[in-house]
Amino acid sequence: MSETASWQSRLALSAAPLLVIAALLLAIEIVARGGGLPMFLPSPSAVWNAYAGRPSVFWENLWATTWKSMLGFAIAMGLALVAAGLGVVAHRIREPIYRTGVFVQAVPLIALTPLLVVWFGNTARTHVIIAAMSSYFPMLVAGMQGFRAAAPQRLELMAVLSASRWQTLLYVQIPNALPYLFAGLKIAAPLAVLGTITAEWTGADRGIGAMMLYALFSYNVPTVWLTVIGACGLSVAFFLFAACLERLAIGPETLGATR
Amino acid sequence: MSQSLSARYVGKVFDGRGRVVALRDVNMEVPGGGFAAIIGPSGCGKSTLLRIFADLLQPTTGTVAIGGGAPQNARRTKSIGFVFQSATLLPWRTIRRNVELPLDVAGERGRSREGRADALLSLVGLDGFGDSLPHQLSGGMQQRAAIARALILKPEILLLDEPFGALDEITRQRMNLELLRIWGETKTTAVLVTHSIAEAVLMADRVFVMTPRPGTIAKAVDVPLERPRTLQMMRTPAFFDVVNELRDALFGTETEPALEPLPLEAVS
Ligand SMILES: Nc1ncnc2c1ncn2[C@@H]1O[C@H](COP(=O)(O)OP(=O)(O)O)[C@@H](O)[C@H]1O
Ligand SMILES: [Mg+2]
Repeated sequence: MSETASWQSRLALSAAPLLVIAALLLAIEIVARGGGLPMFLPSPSAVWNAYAGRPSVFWENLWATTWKSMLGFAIAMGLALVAAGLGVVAHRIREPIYRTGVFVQAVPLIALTPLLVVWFGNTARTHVIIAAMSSYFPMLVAGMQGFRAAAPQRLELMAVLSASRWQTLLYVQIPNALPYLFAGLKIAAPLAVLGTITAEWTGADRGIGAMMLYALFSYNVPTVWLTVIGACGLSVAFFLFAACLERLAIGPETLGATR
Repeated sequence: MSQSLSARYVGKVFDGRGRVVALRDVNMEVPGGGFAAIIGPSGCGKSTLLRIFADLLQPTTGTVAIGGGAPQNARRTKSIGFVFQSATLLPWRTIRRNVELPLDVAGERGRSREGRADALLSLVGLDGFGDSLPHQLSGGMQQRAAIARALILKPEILLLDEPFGALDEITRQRMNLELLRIWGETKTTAVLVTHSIAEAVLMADRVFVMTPRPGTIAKAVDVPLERPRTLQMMRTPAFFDVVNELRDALFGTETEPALEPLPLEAVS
């Protein structure tokens, strides 16, 4: 009984914002039909028409951004975790690794992108690199903090067992770091999308960022809005993906216990 | 026969912000299979001494030996079991997997490890809790799991750093008796750090009294009670004689009224 009740209340909770949004859209539509909206705010139906006219254009561009972001993100994650792991196992190179991360983070991507374009051309490779650079640092910091956050007594326990550094990393530091890693993941995943779109703005021929740029230049306001919605949706999807991974990897009860 | 344990003129200086002389000229001897207790006010270097025995810290001067050899060998061959003041279980592992952690580190797989954790869990009275997670157990139960973990590689030396300090008096006495039973069965050499005089006397063959600044052993007192020890023995004159002797060693023979009503636990 109580279970179904909680399901119903959950449904109501998640339905409420949707209803609000629907009502809002309806209101905007009505005002727009009366001619009461400024130029830069198209009616929802105009945005819909921009999409429905050629849906494949939208999806192809969205997909281009998606895979570039995923690839960049995966590369960043792999590099950051290996770097953070090395920094923990070999204390001497921790500082250089961290400084490199800070440097990568400090470089203004909007300035770097044209340089990369000069080197690699305005290709997917450039966009993937930028996506990776945008999400590298948060993952590196999360990894470094997480691996080092292990309680000193847990490390002493491993020392008494004369565990190797790798065993200590595997049995104590990595599991201990999971909450940190997933916090970093949730920050880094949407950043990869942002990085890809930024890179695409410098004049790609594919991707949601490119589509946005072309729509802007041709004053196609409904299409601009369509791409904005697509970009937001993609960001949110990346975040939700990270959040789902977290749920799968860390059960709610162990999550509570690692604090 | 289990390995003996000895310290010869052990000194330890921490050179950090300011110099702390944690230990000076510590001499002690625990015969193989013996049970020693170390007692003293907090900050007198008990944990430091235990960590030196476990090869977690190096002495600045003097030497320690386990079975006549370097503690490093004892640690490398995994013959040291260490129980910390807090259970230090890994929260993401079940109790059984926690107890098996030393087997994982030692690379023991397959047949040889089957059932060992469960046998130890029943030895410490945790039958049926193998699949629980640490946070589902009370503090006392977690500490018993930590003891099971310390025993799984059949250590020659068992070092216990105030293992029951966080427990209530009732649980604590029960744990004391259980630890004695386990010690009787496993025949390891045990060193127990405690801040309870009564606990030290109940458990040990020999009690070392440490005094601070610098930490050193002021006195060693033999406990003439037979084994197995029982709670009833805590009411005998022989027990009180030892307790009083230890109390004198800890506080001196000063009889200022303000110090008299101090409960045992205030020693820490
Ligand atoms: N890692 C350390 N660095 C500096 N000083 C320390 C360190 N560990 C312990 N000490 C100092 O050594 C003294 C003894 O500490 P400890 O062995 O923990 O005492 P006890 O266990 O008897 O309470 C204390 O004064 C403490 O501050
Ligand atoms: Mg201590």
